[in-house]
Amino acid sequence: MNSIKINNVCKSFGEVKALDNISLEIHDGELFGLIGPDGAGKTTLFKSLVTLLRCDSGNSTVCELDTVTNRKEIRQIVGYMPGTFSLYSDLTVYENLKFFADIFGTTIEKGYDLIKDIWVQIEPFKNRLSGKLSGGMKQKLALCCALVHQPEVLFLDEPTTGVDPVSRKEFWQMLRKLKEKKITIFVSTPYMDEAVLCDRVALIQDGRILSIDTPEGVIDSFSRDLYEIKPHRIYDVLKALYKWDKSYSSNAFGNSVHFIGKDDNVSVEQILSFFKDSGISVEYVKRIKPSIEDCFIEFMSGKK
Amino acid sequence: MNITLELIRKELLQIFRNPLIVKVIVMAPVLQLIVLVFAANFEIKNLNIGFIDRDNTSISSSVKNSFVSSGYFKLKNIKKDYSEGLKEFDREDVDIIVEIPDNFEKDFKNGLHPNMFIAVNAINSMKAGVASSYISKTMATYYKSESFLSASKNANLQSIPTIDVEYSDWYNPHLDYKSYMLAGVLCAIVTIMGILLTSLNVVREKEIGTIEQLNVIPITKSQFIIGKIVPFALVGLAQFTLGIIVAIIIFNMKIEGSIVLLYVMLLVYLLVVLSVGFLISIFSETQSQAMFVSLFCMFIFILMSGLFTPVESMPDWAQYIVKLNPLSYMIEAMRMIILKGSTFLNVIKDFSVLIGMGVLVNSMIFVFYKKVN
Repeated sequence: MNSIKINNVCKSFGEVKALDNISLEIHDGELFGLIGPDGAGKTTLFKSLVTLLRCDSGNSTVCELDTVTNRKEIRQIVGYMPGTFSLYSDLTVYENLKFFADIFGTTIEKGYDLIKDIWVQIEPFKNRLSGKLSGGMKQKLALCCALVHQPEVLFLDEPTTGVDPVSRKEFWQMLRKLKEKKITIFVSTPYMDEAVLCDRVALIQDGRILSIDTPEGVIDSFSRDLYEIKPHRIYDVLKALYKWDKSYSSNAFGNSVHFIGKDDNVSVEQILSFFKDSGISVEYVKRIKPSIEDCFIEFMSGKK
Repeated sequence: MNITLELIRKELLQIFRNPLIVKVIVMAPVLQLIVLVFAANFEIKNLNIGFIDRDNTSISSSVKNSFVSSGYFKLKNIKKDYSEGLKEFDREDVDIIVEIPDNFEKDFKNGLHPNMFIAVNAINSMKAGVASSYISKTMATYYKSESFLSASKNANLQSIPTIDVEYSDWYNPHLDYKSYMLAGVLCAIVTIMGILLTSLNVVREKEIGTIEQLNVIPITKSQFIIGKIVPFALVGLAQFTLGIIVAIIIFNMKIEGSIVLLYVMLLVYLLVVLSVGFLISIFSETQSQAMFVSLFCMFIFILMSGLFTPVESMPDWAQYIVKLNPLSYMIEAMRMIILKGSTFLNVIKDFSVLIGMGVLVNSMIFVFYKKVN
């Protein structure tokens, strides 16, 4: 069964097409990632699914409930965590959680099973004003507040943006645990490395879905040979590769350069000799397996 | 219903979490009542009067004395003539110049109706108006005084029949402006706090993003509106009660009418102003926008309410604007209940107009407040 179904949804803000004919199906109990750069339309899509925004055309359902006609029912069964921290900073951690439990007509005790693992981490600060929490703690509290009424579907809009790497990792572990509790989780993120942590991912850019696949599927679909070049001076290498007629794409990845040749005949030896001719010294060149980031960059460059 | 109670509880929690707001809620009615009621007084005393006595006779000095003894004026003798008096005007040293011409007593005794010259500095037109009325009052008293009567006995006057007008001031026999002002100032305080607190509230939720959370929770519009208005109505009630207590203790205010009726009117009025604040909040995107619009509204409400200037003396078009102003109805009803002891039937017009306005503004909220964009 599909928890979320999106059919040909479009939404424009003036001239800008925020969502351009989007169709997507998310299965029951799935941890589904929506990956895309800023301004791709992620938040707009989320807002339309949690009934905050009405789309221009197309329709979508959450748990078989229409996002336009069954608005009230949807509000009862979804949990939504917006991209910006939006809890009451002048209320304490506990008061925030209690408010969101009460307002849904439930109690913290009833939802405790679901939030327990996260709540124990912030419980020591329960009498602190939530505005005075650290960034990671705020996200945990926001997650608790979105979960306390035991939703069937959880919408997390960029939950890890602006959170440190350790907290990000923790956060994803929490999501995996929640998945075990049969909650469908739809999460958006601009970080491509987080894609491998999802069951399936969709890549979105300029309001269009570029691909929907499992992380492994995405990597497998990468059909070209990828070379890693470890240069001494990265700028010289990029400049030289840019002018090379056998070059298809070259991108800086940390200290190294990921390079794809125009045809699959480009070999390690050819690349090395090209550098030798150009008078540029490199540490090594080797063929590597693509990471999911390579795949997404390939998708987004629109050359596929 | 429970959800509404939770919203109210949360709102009150937030209000009392903010120490400044709590102080303002408590201090505003106390301080403003004390300061404004004493300051916003229409009585004008100590008008400086420049007296030019060219006649220097017993009758001219008796006129002078009657001015001094009236209690409204402070006498300043001007030795020379009117041109010296004008200089005093320029320096704002005197407000009124009274000149008694040569041969005043002589003409008077010959039955020639001599004229006395009076000039009033009308830069402040209200002060000038009050000054003129004090002058006529003083002269009227003078006509009845011993010195005038004895002087006129000797005078060669034909007896002129006069009609004496006797005043009696009802409901406020001592013409005490304080009790008149108290009711109005109290309403103004409730208005200011009510509009400000509500207009900044919803827009603040917009600014910090919590409005989205509130919009995705399954509550109806009416639950939301009630949850947002009731907490501030409670604040208004508390402020009003505090104000009444201050008025009774410090100003010895007597409430002639029913206290219950007073509170019924207050509740209806709060419904209107708080909804206006709510409406402002819906249309604003930032707190500063909401602040500007509510300041504008408050100015119009207070200045066009008959609090400081009587509505009857406004031009016709302004009186129509006053008819749209909820505060004018509230002040009218309050003054009637407190000073006159009016019953519900006397204030039923104000009551029904306010109810009508409340319904109107609330239906506008219903139309314009959207949970879905």
